[in-house]
Amino acid sequence: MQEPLRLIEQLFASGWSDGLPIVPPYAERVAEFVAASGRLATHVVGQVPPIDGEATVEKVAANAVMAGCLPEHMPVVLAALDAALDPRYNLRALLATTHMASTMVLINGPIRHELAFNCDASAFGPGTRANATVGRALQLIFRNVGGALPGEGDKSTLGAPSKYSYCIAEHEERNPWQPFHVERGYSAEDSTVTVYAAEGPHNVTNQYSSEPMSLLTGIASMMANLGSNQLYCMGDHFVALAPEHAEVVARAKWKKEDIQHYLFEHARVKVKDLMLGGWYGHRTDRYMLWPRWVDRHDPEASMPVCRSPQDIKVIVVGGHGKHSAYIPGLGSRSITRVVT
Amino acid sequence: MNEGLIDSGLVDPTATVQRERRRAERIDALDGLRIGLLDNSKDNANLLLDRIAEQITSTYDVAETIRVQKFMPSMVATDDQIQQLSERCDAVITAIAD
Repeated sequence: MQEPLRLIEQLFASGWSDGLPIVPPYAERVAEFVAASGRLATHVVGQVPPIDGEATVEKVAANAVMAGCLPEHMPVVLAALDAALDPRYNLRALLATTHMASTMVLINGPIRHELAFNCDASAFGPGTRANATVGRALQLIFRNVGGALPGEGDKSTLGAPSKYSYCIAEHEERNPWQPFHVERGYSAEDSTVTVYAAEGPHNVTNQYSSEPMSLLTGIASMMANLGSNQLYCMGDHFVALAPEHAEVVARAKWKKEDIQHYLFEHARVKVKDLMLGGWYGHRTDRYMLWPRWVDRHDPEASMPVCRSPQDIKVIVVGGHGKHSAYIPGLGSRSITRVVT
Repeated sequence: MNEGLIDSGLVDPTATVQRERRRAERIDALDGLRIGLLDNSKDNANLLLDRIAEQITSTYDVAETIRVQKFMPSMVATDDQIQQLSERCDAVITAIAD
């Protein structure tokens, strides 16, 4: 066998791979990645659950090399990891749970273009190195540093294709409102990374709506399903509007807050339906996170899928076409960090 | 198992340094001990722990059983709960029902 093929096979056998070929983490290449991070190799980013493995910059670099990253991706990977380690993100639950959620990475700001992240057609992939490898690097860190091995540290019943890699960028140029990171208080010139404990994107087709209400009603319907983990765990939700759908809404002079309010009001599940097909059936007292202002004993009451309209995050993503996406979550908080 | 790869100049991407963990001292019998019962709050964890409590109190001369329930299964036990268990118990049994 030719030498490169032999090495590729050895790397498959090493247990370091997610099932796809990996780039050999040669010490010299790893050192280049460490240098690009501007940090010391021994600097500890944090302890990665579920086994609380210590993520040094060198370990992060080795996994980023294996994922196929370039050295300049290191600050993005490090910021994403730092965000994922925020306690509000609940990475321990995300990695160990039987649920299928993965970490969706959202890129905002000038770094999208500087590092050639795709935010246009096929924004969720495949086809773009920056998106594919940054998302994959994070997953390899969870596997190799955190011990989130399928069936072992990672107890996901079904797993998900999004556990290979899941990284998108906002199409800010086509966003009629503020970009996501500016809404969160950052400057438009900042580059940020946001992590969200997410299921895969669910397509919402609407080719004909010319006004916001019918368009958003379709999205609200996608959000309100009895099997949703978030009727139990609440937390943040993401709605990725395609540019052409965003245009329809903005043309009617709707602000982003209007979208959030509309979806909050319309993405509802009747308590009587939850009694028949919800997590706890008739024992609606058992839901710990439901808002107090809905009468959980009234079968006709409508339960929202989150606790406030602001929990519904609206971003603009993708290319031509009238397809948006609802991205359900595990039920935790999305976390943003500046890429430095 | 990957020494060959490391020797050929690759960096091991797996965590080699983990937070130090120390196993608690093993116990032979439960007589006279205070036993914590940590419920992960999923359905039936309470039933399982009820049964365990019954069995250990009828089999051993247990000094006390202390029940603690997590707020939600997907959240770790709070620092207060861990502190309470570590201060008040000689041994803890946890139930992960589903």
